[in-house]
Amino acid sequence: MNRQEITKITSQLVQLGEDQDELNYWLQIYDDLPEEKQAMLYINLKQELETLQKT
Amino acid sequence: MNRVENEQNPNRAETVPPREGAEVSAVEQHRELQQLFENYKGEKIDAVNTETQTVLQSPNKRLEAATSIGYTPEQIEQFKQEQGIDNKLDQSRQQIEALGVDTRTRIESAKTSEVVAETQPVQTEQTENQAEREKTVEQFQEKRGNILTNVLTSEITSNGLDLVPFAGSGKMVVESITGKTLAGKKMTGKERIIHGAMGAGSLALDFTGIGEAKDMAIIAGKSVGLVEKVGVKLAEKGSVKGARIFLATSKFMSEHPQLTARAEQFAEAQIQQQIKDIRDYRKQAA
Repeated sequence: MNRQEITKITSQLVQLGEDQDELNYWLQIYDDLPEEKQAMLYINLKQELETLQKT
Repeated sequence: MNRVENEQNPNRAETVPPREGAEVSAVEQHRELQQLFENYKGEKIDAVNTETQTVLQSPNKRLEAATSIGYTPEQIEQFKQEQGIDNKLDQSRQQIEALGVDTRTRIESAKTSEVVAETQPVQTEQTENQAEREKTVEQFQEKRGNILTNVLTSEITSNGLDLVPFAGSGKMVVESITGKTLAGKKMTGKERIIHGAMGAGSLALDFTGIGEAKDMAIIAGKSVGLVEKVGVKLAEKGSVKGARIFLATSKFMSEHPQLTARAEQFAEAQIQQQIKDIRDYRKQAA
């Protein structure tokens, strides 16, 4: 759940049609989020990527 | 005609390579299928022409072949006249020609609509996939929006910036602003960030001094400044990470002025309504 991984996931999401501006914002604030929220965000993005890759 | 129909699917299956999901648009696939069909149609029309000519020439060839078994041309001519063979041959020729024309016409016209009809399920499937993807994106954006609203609200409340004496219930204000847009539509990811910041920021309206003057807009045209001020206050209170999140959000809002302006309109209406409700309640209580 490091920043590099989050960056990779968001990049893949953008390729699948996600909003680049929105995801850039999340990347920008990621390091300042509480750990619990970082984990929630990571799960959220990863699950979205997996779901979009299936459709 | 049946042969044409029966041969169509195997032929297409051999020629159209399997394609990978969303990479090929419906339009491209349709165009490709149509091109394949046009090629196939051309081949079949050529075949019909050739076979028609072969059948048309075969009676003459058979009569010509009769000379090889001993009949003279005169005897053949006499036989043809007695039996009315020329008339029958003319009729057969006309029927064969008509059949050839009919076959060509059917190939040229009727089958195109079938190809179009066959591509429609592909397009429908892709539209359904697109709708499913949009729904997925929206659901995950909504969850992210809730994470952000939670973070921003927590930063304000845990640092004692949530006074909101005008509205009574800060939670109601936040929820009323973050839940939907001015048009009552589902929000995009960007809108969720902006509405979340505005909802959370409204908790600190009193603390920042923004919106205090009577008969003036409370948040309209001021939300970027409000969120930035909250960031500064948080920094003063030592919440550096919280401050950075508010400042990044303020920057994001200023980079999307139209979305921010629309959200402000909506937030203004919601806050004004909350204030009115509280005043009405106080009047009734008095």
